[in-house]
Amino acid sequence: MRLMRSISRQLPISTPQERRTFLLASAASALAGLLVLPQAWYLSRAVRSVFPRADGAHAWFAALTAFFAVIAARAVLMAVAKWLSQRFASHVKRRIRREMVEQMAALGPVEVRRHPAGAWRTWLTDGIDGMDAYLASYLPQAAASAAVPIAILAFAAVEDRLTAVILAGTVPFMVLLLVLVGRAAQKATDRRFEALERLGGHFLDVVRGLWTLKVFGRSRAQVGIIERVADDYRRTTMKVLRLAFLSSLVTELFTMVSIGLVAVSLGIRLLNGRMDFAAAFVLLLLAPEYYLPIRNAGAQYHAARDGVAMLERHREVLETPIPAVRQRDGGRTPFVSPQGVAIEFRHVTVRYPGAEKPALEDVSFRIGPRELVAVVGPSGAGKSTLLAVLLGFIRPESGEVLIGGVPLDEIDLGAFRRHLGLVAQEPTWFHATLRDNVTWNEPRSDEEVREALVMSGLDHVVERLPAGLDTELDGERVQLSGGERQRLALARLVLRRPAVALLDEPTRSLDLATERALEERVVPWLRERTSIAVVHRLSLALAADRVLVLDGGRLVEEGRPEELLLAYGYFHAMVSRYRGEEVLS
Amino acid sequence: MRRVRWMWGFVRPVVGRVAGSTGLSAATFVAAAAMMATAGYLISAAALKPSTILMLWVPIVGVRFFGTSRAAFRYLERLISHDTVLRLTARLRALIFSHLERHPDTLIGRRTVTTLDLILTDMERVQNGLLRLLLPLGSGLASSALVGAWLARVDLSLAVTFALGVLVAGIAAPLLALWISNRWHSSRFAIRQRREAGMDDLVRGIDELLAHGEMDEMLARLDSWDEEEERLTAHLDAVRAILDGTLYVGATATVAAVLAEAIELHLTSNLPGTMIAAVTLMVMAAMEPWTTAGPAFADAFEVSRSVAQMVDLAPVSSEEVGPRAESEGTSATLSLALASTHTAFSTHGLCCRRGDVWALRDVDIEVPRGHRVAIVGDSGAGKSTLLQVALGLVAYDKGEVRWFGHPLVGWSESELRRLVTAVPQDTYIFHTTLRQNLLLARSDATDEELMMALSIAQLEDLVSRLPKGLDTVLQDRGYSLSGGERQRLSLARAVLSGAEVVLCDEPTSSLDVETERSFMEAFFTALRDKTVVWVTHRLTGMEFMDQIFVLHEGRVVERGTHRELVHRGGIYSALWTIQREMGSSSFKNGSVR
Repeated sequence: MRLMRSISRQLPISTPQERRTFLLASAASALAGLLVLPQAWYLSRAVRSVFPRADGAHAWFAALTAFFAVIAARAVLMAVAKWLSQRFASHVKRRIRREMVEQMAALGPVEVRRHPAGAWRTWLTDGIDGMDAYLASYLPQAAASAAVPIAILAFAAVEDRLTAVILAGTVPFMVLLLVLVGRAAQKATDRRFEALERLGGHFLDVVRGLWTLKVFGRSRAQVGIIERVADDYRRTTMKVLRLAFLSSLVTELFTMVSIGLVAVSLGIRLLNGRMDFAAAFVLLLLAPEYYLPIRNAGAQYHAARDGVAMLERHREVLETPIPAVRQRDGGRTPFVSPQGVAIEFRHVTVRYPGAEKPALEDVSFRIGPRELVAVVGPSGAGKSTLLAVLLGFIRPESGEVLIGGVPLDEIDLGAFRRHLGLVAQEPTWFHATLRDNVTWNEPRSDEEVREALVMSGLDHVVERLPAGLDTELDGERVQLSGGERQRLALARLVLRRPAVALLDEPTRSLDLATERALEERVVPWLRERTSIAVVHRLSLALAADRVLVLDGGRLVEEGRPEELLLAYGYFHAMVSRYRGEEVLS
Repeated sequence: MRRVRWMWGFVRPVVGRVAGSTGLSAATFVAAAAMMATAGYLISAAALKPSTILMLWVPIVGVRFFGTSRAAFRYLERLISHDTVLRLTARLRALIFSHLERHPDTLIGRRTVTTLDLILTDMERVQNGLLRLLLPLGSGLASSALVGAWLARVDLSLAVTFALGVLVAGIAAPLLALWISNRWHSSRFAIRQRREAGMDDLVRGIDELLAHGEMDEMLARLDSWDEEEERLTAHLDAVRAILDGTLYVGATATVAAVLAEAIELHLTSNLPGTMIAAVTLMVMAAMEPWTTAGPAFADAFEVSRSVAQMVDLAPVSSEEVGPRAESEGTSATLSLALASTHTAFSTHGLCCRRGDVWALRDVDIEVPRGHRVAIVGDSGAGKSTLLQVALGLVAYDKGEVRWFGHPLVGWSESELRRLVTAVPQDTYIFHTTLRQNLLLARSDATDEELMMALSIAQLEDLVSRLPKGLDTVLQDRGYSLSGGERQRLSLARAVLSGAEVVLCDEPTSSLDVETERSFMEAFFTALRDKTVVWVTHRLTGMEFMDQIFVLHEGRVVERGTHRELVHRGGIYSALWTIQREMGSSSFKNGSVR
C-alpha cells in the first residue's frame, strides 16, 4: 500500500476518486491482458483436439466454446478498461484545466501577460487535450505492459524451459539496443520536431506580415520561399529519420527473429517427439504478445513525452510566485460612499518580478471623494503601474496603500472591487451580446443602458450594428475598432456607477470630435466620485482637479493644473509642447 | 463533396508516394501474417514427425524470411510515409500562403491571431489524417485482399468467412460507431468552441474581469462548459469503449470461425491438418490492421472539420484581387506614360462595400505628382478602405482607380510596388534580423544605404543599442521595439524602397504626443520630394499639405487647402475649432481665477 501511494505521487493523481479510477482501469487492463493466456490455451486445445490426431467428435467444439467464453470476458474487460481510462483522463484534464485557470486568476495580469496570450490559449486547449494519449493509454496500460510479459514468461518456464530461456534472454539485448540506438536517434528526432515547430512559427510570421510583404512586392517570392524552406527541412529531416528509424528496424528485426527462433526450436523438439503439440502451439501464439510492449515503446515514448511536458508546464504555473494581492476571506471592508473613498499611497515602491529598476519609487499621495486626478508623464514613467497597485494586481515591495484607512492587503478585495470601475488601456470585448458586454450580465433597464450609450458615444456605433444592442460580438463578423472598444469600456463604466473610477488613457484611440464630446459629458460625471485617469493627451489633465506628474517612477510634481502651470516645471513644459503641437497656427 | 475534391487536389502530386507507402504498409502486415502462418505450419509439420528434418527446411527459411522482410518493409514504409507527410506540409503551406497572397482581404474579418493559431492545428490534423486514417485503411484493405486470396486458394469458404469478419469488425463497426457518435461529436465541438472563446475572453480580459470582481463568475462559467464537455465526452468514451470491445470480439471471433471451419474441412474433406494452425495464425495476424485502425476512425470527425476549415481558407480556384502577378512587358509604354503624366493617383466614382455597409461611395480623388495630400475623416469614414483599395489589397465594387493614368488592374504587381509603398498604422516586425527587416523594402541595398535610411528615420541610436547591430534578431525577448521605433522602422523601409509615392495610414495614432511630433518632423524631412498621401483623423500638420480631402460616411464632402477649408465653415473647420479648443480652452478655464 505504501508502494502504491509512492507511485501515485509520481502520477498526475490528486483526488481519491482519480486514484480509484486509475487503479481500477489499470487492474481491468492488466486482467484483460492476462486473459491472453487462457485465450491462447483454448485456441490451441481446439486445434490439438483434431490435430495431429482427432480426439473425439466434439472435443474441439467444447474447446471453442471455452475460447468464446474467454474472449467475451476479455472484450468486456477491455471495454471497461477503456472506459475507466478515458474517465480518468477526462477527470485529470478537467482538474488540470481548472487549477491552471484558477491560478491565472490568482496570478493576475502582471504575471499572465509575461507569456503571450496565444501561449496560454494553446496550453489551456490543445496542450491539455493533447495529454489524452498519455493519460488514457500510456499510464493505465503500464501495469498490463509489465504484467503480461512476466506472466507469459512464467507460463513458458513451466511449459517449456528452452522457450523461456529464449524469451528471457532476448529482452536484455533489445533493451540495450533500444537504449544505445534509440536514445541518440530519439534525441535527433526530437530536435527535428522542434525545428518543425520553428518552421510553423516562420509560416505564421510571414502570414501575419503579409500586408507588409505585399506593400513591398515581396509576398509572391515568399510562396516559393515557404515551399523551399519546408522542402529543405524535409531533406535534412529525412537524413535524420533514416538513422532514427534504424532503432525501430532493429527492435522489429530482433522481435521477428526471436519469434522465429522460438518457432524453429519448438519445431525441432516436436520433431524429436520431446514436446506436446498443444504446448508448442500455445507458446507460438504467445510469443508475439510477449514482445508487444517493447515494440510499442517508440510510440509510447512520444505520448509520454507530450503528457509529461504538459504536466511540467502545469506544475510550473502552479508554483509561480503570485505577485498580486491575495484574495482573502473575512478581510476588512472599508466604508465606501457613492461619492468615493479616500485613497492614500504611503512611500510606495514597486518592482516587477525580475526587473532591476523599480517601476514606482517612494510614491506618496492622497485622493479624496469627489475628486478627479489626472496622472501624466512620459511612457515608462509608471503611470499604469500606479493603477495596477491600486487594483491589487501587484504587491508593493515597500510602503502602504490605504483604502478608506484600511491597508490594501488586509482588505476584502472582492468587496472593494464591487465599487471599482476600470477603463483599461486596451479594453476587451467579450464573446457575448453587446448588451451583456455593457452590463456585465446584470439586469439593467433599456433607459439606463441608452443613457450610458449616449454618454460614451457608443450610440452611433450601435445604430450601425445589424441587431443593435443584441448583436453578438464574435470578433469576426462584427469587429470593433480601438476607439469603439474604448467607448464600450466607457459605457460599461458609466452603467456600473462605481465609487472609484480608474481610466487608463481613455481617449487614446478616439477621434477628435468624439474625444471632445466625451470629455464634456464624462468629466463632470468623473468629478462626482473618486477618479484617477492616466492620460497622454493633456486636455483631460487640464480639466482635472489635480495632476500627478510621474517621471522615471517618481512623483515629481503634484497639484492643481493651474498651479502647476504657473510653477513652470515638468507639467508646464509638457503643456506648452502639447499646445504648440496641437495649435500650429 | 467539396472537402473530398479539395483533399484530392491536395494529395494528387504525391499520390504515387501515398500508394507506395500504403503498399509497403500492406506488405508489412502480409509479411507478419505469412510469418505466423509459416510458423504454425512449421510446428504442425514437425508434430507429424516427418522422416527427415529437411522436410522442415522450407518453412524454417520461410519464417526467417518473412520475419526479416517484415522489419524491412516497416522501415521503408515509415521512411516513405514521413517523407510524404513532410512534402504535404511544404505543399499545404505554399498552397495556403499563395492563396492568402492573392486574396489578402481573406484575412480581413478574421481575428488574425486566433485564426492563425488555429491554421497550424488544422494543417497538422489534415496531414495526420492522411497518416492515421487513409494509410491504415488502404493498407488494411490491400493486405486483407492478399490474405483473402491465399485463403481462397486453400478453400473458398475460409476466404468468405474471413471477408465477412473484415467487413463487420473492420469496416461496419467503426462506421456504425462514427454514425452513432456524430451528434455528440458535433455538440462537443460546439461546446469546445464556446470554451475556447471563454478562454480567449479570460486571457485577453483578465484585467477587467479581476478589477470588476467578475472573475469568479467567469471561472464558474468555464467550469460549467467543462462539465458539459465532460458529460458529452462520457458518451463518446462509452461508444469508444464498446467499439474497442466489439472490434476485439469481431476479430477474435473471425479467427475462431475460420478455425472451426478449417477443423470441419479437415474432418469432412481433405484439408491437411498442418494447415489448421497455419490458417488460424494467418487470420489472427491479418486482423491486426483492423483492430489498430478502427479506433482511429473516431478522429475522422475532427479531420473532416479541419479539412473544411482549409477549404474555407484556401478554396482551390477563385478570382484575384489587385494588380496582376506577372509583368507582361509593358515597362516601355509605362515609362513613357510616367514621363508624361502629372497625376500620381486618381479615383473616379469609386464605390466599395465592407460587409453590408458601403464604405466608399462615389469617391473622386486626384493626387498630383510631388504633392502632399491629406485624407481626413472620423473613424468609420472609409479612409482605411480607400488606402487598401489604392494598394490593391481589397477589391472594389464600382468606379475607376488609376495609378499614373493607368487602371490599377492593368499594373503588374512588381511595377506598382516599385512606385508605390506604404507606412501602415501598426508596423509589422518580422522575427528576423534588423537587416532582413529592412532589406525586404529593397533586397539589393548595401549596408551604407541601410544606415543612411536608418539615420533619415532617426533610428541610429537603435542600431547602437542593439547588441549585434543590424544582425540582431528583432522580436526576441528583450529586443522588442517601442511604438515610435516601430513606426520609424516603417519610415526607413519606405525611404529605402525609393518609391515615388508613400501612402500613410495614421502612422502616428499609436504614438504619444511627443513621439508623434518628432516622428512627423523626421517623416516630412525624409520624404521632402515624394508624393505623400497622409490619412488621419487628427489635424496635425495640415498646413503642410497641398490639398486636403475630407471623407464623411464614405463620401468626399470637402476638398481644398487647410486655409480654404478652415474658412469654409464645414466639417473641417468644426473639427479644427474643436482641436484648437481642446488645446487651449480648458487651459483658459484653469487659468481664470
